[in-house]
Amino acid sequence: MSGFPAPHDLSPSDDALRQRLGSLAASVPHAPDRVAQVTMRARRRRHHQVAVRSGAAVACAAAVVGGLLFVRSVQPSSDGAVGAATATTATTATTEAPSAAVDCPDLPVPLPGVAAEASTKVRDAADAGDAGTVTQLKTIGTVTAVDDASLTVSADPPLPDGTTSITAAITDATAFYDNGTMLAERPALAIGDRVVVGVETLDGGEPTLEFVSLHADDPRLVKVADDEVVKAADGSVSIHVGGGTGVDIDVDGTTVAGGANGEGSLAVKVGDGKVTCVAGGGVSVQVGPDGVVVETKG
Amino acid sequence: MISDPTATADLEPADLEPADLDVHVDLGFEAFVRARGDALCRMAFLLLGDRHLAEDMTQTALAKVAGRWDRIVANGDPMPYVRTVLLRTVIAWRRRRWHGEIPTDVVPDGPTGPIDDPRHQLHRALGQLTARQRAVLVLRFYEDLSEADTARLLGCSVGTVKSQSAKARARLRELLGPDITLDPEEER
Repeated sequence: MSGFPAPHDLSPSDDALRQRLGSLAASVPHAPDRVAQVTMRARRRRHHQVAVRSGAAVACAAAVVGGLLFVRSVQPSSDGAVGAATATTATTATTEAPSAAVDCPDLPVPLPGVAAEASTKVRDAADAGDAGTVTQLKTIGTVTAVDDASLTVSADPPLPDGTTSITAAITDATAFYDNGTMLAERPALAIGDRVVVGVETLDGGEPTLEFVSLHADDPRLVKVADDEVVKAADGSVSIHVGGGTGVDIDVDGTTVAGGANGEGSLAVKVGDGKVTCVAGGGVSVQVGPDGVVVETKG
Repeated sequence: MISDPTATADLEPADLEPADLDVHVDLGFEAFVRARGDALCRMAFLLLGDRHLAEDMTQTALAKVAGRWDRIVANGDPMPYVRTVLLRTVIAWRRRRWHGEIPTDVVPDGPTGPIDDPRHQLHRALGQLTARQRAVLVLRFYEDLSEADTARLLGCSVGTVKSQSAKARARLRELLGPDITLDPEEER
């Protein structure tokens, strides 16, 4: 703003008005406390602005957190067994000792004869407190090479991506189990041993063994779909058992090789929720809320 | 000292006496309020016709600029900016649906003194002008702004400023007599 007009902009008569306006304005007395009043108002105004901004920030943060929680709640879990609905799964990301029923509760136990039994899981590094992406892998297989520092396992069946051979380093943190029991020392591993291994790979680096579980085939839990089980009116349950050297249980169209039973139907009788095999020893069936679980002892 | 504090707004520092120069040298907010607060309040009084309301508007405008004082000062003399803020504050107050006014024919506040005091008469006459006419008169003849600056400040055209000024002065002439402003020939 340039402020003053040019001298010719105003005529002498305008001076009269200007003087009278100035005289009227001069009647406003001086306010000695104006500085204090303005300072107080400015402080109040600043506090108000801070409060408004803080409130807005809190509201935004709450909305973001709420949105994330909502998205997480509606997002289907990507964990669990791969493919077949027949394998028993427990998929919490942990390397705790395996339970008695399942060797490694953190990842699905691969079972022979069940398609895509081996599983892989990629977890965010933030979950593990590491830098980068952690890939977890758990599979069952046969030891093809072993030394002090590493173990090579031939995955059977192959991993979902077609990998058949896995070599991972044995570290001080590698845990060893035998039939579900954690061992204090590293057991003797030999070529041909049947093992379940958990392998962790950090950000594309060298795979390391999280655990090695010996005799992982035994026990073996198979969850049988309801429609594969014929439940009689008297409470008995029959499951088709195929021929061959072991118990062949038809699970969702996939034949699971197992114990040493003859061909024919496996008839079991329900007793207090838990049924016991009445034909073909070494097999028990448990009827649970999620279906029928067949435990083979073969 | 310069008698009218607002008149220092566009003067060069060399034109100022030391006491006025301090305002420019010491551009602290409190120094500015001490030096220019009365001038701003008087302008608000002419715009509003009420001393207490003028003081309130002045303090509100000053509180608004206090938070960004450094940036305002960095751009030079803060007076035009603060004056603009004050004018906008007054306009915003007027636009509010309710502002505590009681409609009356007589301006409730005015300079003390006899009823025939010219200041009292002018005060009453100003109260009968429209808000825009009053603003034009105050900015043109009290703040000594040019027509272009007045138009920019009020957000209207120079032609509007001229017409509003002419109407305002005609109205004042009608209310106060011909000696207050230009005669009609001079207004052209």
